[in-house]
Amino acid sequence: MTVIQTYHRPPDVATALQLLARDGVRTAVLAGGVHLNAHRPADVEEVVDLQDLGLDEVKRQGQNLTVGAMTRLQVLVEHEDVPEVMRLCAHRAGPNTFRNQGTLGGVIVGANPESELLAALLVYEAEVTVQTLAGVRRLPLSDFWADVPAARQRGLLTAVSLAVDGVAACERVARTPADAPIVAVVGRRRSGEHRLAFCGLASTPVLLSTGEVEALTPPADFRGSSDYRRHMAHILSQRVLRQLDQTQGA
Amino acid sequence: MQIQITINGKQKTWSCQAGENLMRLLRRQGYYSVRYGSDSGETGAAAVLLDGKLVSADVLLAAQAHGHSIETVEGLAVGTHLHPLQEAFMRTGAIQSGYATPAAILAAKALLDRCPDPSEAEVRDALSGILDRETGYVKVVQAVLAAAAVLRGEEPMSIEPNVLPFPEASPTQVVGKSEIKVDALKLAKGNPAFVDDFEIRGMIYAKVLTSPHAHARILDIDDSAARALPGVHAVIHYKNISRRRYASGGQTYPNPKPHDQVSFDNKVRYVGDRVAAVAAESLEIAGEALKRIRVAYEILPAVFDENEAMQAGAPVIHDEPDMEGAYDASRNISHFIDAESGDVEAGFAQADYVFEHRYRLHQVQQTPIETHICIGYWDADERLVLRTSTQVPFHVRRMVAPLLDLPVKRIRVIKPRIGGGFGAKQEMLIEDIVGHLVLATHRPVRLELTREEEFMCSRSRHPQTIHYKTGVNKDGMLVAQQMTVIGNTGAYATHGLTVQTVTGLRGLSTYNCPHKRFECYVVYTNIPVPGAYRGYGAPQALFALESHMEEIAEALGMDVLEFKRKNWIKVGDPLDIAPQLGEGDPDLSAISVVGSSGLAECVAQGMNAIGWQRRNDPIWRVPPDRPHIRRGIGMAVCMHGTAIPGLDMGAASIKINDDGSFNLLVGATDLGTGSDTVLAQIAAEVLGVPLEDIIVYSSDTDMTPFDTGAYASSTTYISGTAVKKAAEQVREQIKERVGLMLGLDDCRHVGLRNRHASMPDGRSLSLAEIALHALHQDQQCQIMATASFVSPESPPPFAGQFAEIEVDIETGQVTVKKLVMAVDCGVVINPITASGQVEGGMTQALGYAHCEEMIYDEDGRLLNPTFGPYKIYRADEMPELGVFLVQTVEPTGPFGAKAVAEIPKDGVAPAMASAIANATGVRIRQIPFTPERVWQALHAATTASRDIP
Repeated sequence: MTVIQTYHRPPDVATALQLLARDGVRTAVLAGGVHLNAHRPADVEEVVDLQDLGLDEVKRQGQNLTVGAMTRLQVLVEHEDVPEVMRLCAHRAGPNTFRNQGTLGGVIVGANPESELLAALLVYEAEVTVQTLAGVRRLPLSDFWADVPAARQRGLLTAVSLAVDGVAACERVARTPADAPIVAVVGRRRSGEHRLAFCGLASTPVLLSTGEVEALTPPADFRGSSDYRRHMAHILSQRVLRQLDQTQGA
Repeated sequence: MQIQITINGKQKTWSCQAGENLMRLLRRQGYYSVRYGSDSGETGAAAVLLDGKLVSADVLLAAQAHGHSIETVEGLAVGTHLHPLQEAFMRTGAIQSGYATPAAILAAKALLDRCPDPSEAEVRDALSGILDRETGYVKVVQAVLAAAAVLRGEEPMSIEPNVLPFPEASPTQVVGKSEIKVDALKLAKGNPAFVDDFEIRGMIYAKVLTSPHAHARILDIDDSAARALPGVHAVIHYKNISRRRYASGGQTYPNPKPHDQVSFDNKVRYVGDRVAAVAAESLEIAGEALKRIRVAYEILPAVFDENEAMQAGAPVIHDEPDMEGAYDASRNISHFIDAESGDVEAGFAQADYVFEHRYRLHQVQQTPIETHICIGYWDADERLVLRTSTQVPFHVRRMVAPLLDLPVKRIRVIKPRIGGGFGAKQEMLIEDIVGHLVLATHRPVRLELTREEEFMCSRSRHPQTIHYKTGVNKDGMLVAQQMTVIGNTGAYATHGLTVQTVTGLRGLSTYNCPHKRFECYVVYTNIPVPGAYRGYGAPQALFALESHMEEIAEALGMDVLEFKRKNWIKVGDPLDIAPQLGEGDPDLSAISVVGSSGLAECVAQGMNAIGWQRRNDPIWRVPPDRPHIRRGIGMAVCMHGTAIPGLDMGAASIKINDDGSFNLLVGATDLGTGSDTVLAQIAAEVLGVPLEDIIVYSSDTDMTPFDTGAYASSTTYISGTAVKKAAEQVREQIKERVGLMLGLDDCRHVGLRNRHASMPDGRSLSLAEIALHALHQDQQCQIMATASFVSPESPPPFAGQFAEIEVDIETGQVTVKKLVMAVDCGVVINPITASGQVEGGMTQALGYAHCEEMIYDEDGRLLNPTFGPYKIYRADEMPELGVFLVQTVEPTGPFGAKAVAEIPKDGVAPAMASAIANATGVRIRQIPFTPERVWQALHAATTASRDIP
C-alpha cells in the first residue's frame, strides 16, 4: 500500500528541480503515473507531478526532431512530424489507455527491454536533455541508461532530440499481434550506414551490429530461450536490412 | 489534501490522500461504474475520460486529476434518455456480465467525440485498453459502429446472428427472438449492481496471508504483533480456527471425496495457499498486519509435474493423519478412474492397425475481470449474510455451514450481478474466511482478491497428459479406443474427480467404437489448484482426440473429414460409455441415444464459411510475395454435454402481480451469460406476455428455490425446463380463473397471448383483470407455482470449429486470421445471447490454444500473475470470428433447446493444430502454439523426422 504523503505540482522547472534536490525526502518524479501507480515503490514519500511544466512540445527543425519528455505517447502516434516507424513503435507501446497517459520521458526512464519505441529512439540517435540546478546537459540515450540516477543527478529529463532523416523499418516476433515482442528489431539507414536496435536481448533495448548479436547470450524467459532470442535477432535483422535496402531509393 | 474536479460537468471539491488512486476516490464518492479489475491499469475496468481521453483510474493518482474534467458513465444518460452508445450496447448484445461495460462505453465515446465515422480498426484501437473476457469483442464493435451511425443521423445497419432456421420449428412470440437482456439497462448505466457496489456501515477489510513456499509445514504462528496493531480486529489461522475437513468444489451433496482441505491448516501445499487472515479498519492496516504475522516454516521438497508426483519417493502432499477418501494419498493419487464398454484388448487384437499418440495440456486461468469478492455481515436476526460473487450460492451455503459451526438456516447467501465466472466461482473459495471473520468480529467484512491473488490463489484448468491408443480397420472404421489420462489437480482435489471424468466422457463419445476404455489417475502436485473452468475437462480431451483422429486419417491416407464423418456419432447412436462416466449410479443409468444432431450441417456451413478448399491450393498456402509464410486451414469436430444427467436440478417459482406481470424467482445464477433473459423468455412465451412483464430475481438462498447453479451447460436446459413447467402450471391456474370469471365449464380452450386470456369465441380478459380478480375479488388466491427439473438425459450439442492461420516458418510465430464455428445448440432461445456465448467462448479457447499459460519458477512461484505476461487477446488483435447457429429440435429440451455455453471452448486448439499441420506438415501435440514451441517443432522436423513428440 502507498506511503506517499505529499503531492506536489510545481508550476515551472526551477521549482520542480528544487523539490527534487531536497535532502532527506524520498521524492519521485511523476510523469504519466502508470508505472508509479502500478508498482508503488515502498520508499517514495513525496511525488512531483510534471504536468504543469509545459514539457510536451514536439518540434521539428529540418532533420532534427525535439520531443518534450511529458509528450503523451498517443501524441507521438498521431504527430505528422514524427517518422512513420517511430509512430508505429509508439503505437505498439501499449493499449490506448496506456498511450493516453504514458509519456515519452516515463518510457525512457522505465527502460523496458521490450519497448520498440525505445529501440526506435536508439536508431534515431536519441539524445536526452537533463536539467539540474547546475545546468542543462545532453547525452546519448544509452549513456543515460548506463546510470540513470547519476545521469539525472536529482534532475529532470526534459526532452529528447532525434535525427529523423534516412529510412527505417521494424520487425518483431510475438505470441499475438499486440503482445509485447519476444524479440524486435528496428533499423535505420542513413547515407549508406545502418543502425540496428534490438529488443529482448538485454536489460534495455540495445544498438548492436549483426556480428555482435551472434556473440550475445540474451537473458531467457518462458517466452524465449537464449538461443531462440539470438536466432530471432538474426532472422529479424536480416529482414529489416532487406527492407532498408529495398527502400534505399526513397 | 483537497482536490477540485469537474465530474460529469459538475464542479466538486473532494478530500483525498496524496497517494490515493482515482479509482478508489471515485468509488468512495459513489461512482460505482468505475470498477476494480487490476492494480496496474491492464484490464481497463476502471477507465474514465480525463479531459476527454480514456485513461485507467487505477494507475492515476486522484491528485493528478486535480483541475481536470472527468467523465464516467453515470454522466451519460439524461434522465431516462440513454446515450445512443448505451442503447446500442444493449441492443446488439455487447453486454454480457456488464462489469467493464461502462469502461467500454467511455472508450467508444472518446472515439466518437472526435471521429464520428470510424473504421472498424479505429473502433478496435479505441477499445484496446479494455480487456473483455466475455464477448469476443464482436458485438462491442458492432455496438460502437451502430451508435456512430445513430449519432450521425443515419439508420444503423441491422445485425442479426446467422441462425439457420429449422423448418419444423414452431412459431413463437418471445422464444427465438433476439430480446434485449433483462439486466442490460442497469449494466449500460453502470448502476450499482455488483458485490462491491454496496456499502455497509462499519465495514472492515480482510486480507489473506498466503504461503511463499510450495510445500511446507507450519511449525508455529505468532500473531501478537499483528493483533497489537491499532485497527486490527481479528487474526485467524490454524491455531484459533477449528479443524473441519471439506472439499471446496461447488458440487452437489455429498461432495466427492477426498475432503482434503480445512479452513486453515498447519501445512501449506502451494505458493499462494492460505496461512492466516486478518480483518482491520482499512486495507492498508490489514496489509501491514499481514507483515507482522511471524510464521515458522519447515520447508519440504515439492513436486509440480503430475507424472513425477506419482513416482515412488515423490514428496507426499497429503500426509496429514486425518486425510481420508483419496485413492492412494501415499502416492499422491487422489482418484483412479477405470471405465470400459466392450473389450478394448480384444478390439486391438482384431484391428488392422493400432495407432498411439501422446498429448500434453497446460494450465490456464479463467480470469474473470471481477475477481473473487465477498462481503459478509451479521444481520438483525443474528444470521450470517454473505453477498458473494459465486456461481453456486446454494452449494456455498451448505458447504460453509459446518466450517462455521452454524446451521444452514442461519446462513443466507446472496448472488448479485457477477462480473464473469467461467467456473472459477463454482467453488467455495473465500466465503468461509469472510464467515470466520464476521463471527470473530461481528462487523461487516469485505474480502476482495487482488488480480495477483486471483492468479495465484483461485482456480484454473487442469494440466493433463493424455495418451490415446486406437485400433482401426482398413476401411477406416474404429474398432477399439483407449484413452489414458494423468490429470494434475494441484494441491487439492476439489473438482479433480469430476473434471477428469468429463475428460474421459468427452474423449470417448464423439466417435462410435465398439470397444472403449478410459483409465485415469488424478494426481496431487504443488501447483496452484485447478478446478472448474468452462469446458470442464472437454477442451483437453478434444485437443487430444481431434488431433489423434486426424493423425490416424493421415496415416491411413484418408481424407480427414471423410474419416471423421464415417465414425462420428449420429442420431440414434448410443452414448455407450456415458453410464460408466456419469456422476450418478452407473447401474441405474440406461444408455441414452443421440436424439438430435446438426453436426453434418455444422461442418458443411463451416467449410463454406472458411473456404475449406483453399487448404489444398499450393499457391494459396505458400504466398509468392511472402516466402517465409505458410497458410493453413484446419477443423475440429466438437461434441459436448448438456447438464449432468440424474444429478443437476433447477427450480423456479412464478407468481402473478396485480398488473398481470410476473415475478420469476430462480436459483440459477446468471454470470453474464444471459441466462436470466433466456429463462424469462421461456416464461414469457408460455404466459403470453412480452419479456418486459417478467421480473427476474436471481439468486438468494432465502428467496429463490434451489438450483445447483451455473455450471455444466445446464441453465437453459435444466433451469429452463423448470421455468417452463412452473409457467405451464401458472397458465393452468390462470385458465381456471378465467373459467371462474366467465362461468365456463371447460377452460381447456383458453389461450394466453398479448397479455390476455382469450376464448376461441372472442371473449377475452386481460391478465391484469385476472390477477386483480384472483388477488382481491373472489375466492382469492395467489396464482403461483413452483416446479423443478432433473434430467435423465444429457443431449449433446455439436459443432464444427474451423481455423485459418499463417505460420512464419522462420520465427514460429502463428497468426490466427479467422475462426468460424457452426454450432447445433438445438432451438436457439435468444440468437444474440447464444452467438455471444459462442464468440466469447471461442476467444477464450483461442487464448488457451495460442498464448495463455501459467508459468512457474523452479520453486513453484507463478511468474506471470498479471495480464500482459499472462496474455489474453485484446480487441485490436482479434482474428475475424464467424458464428453459425444450426438449429435442430432436441426432443427433451425446453422448446427444443440444448446447451451452448461450453462447446465453444472445445475446438480451437485442435483446429489450430490441424491448420498448422496443413500449413507446414508438422504436427504439434502440445499447446499453446507459442513462437518458440512452433519454431522448435519446425526445426526438429527439418533436421529429423516430420513427427514431433
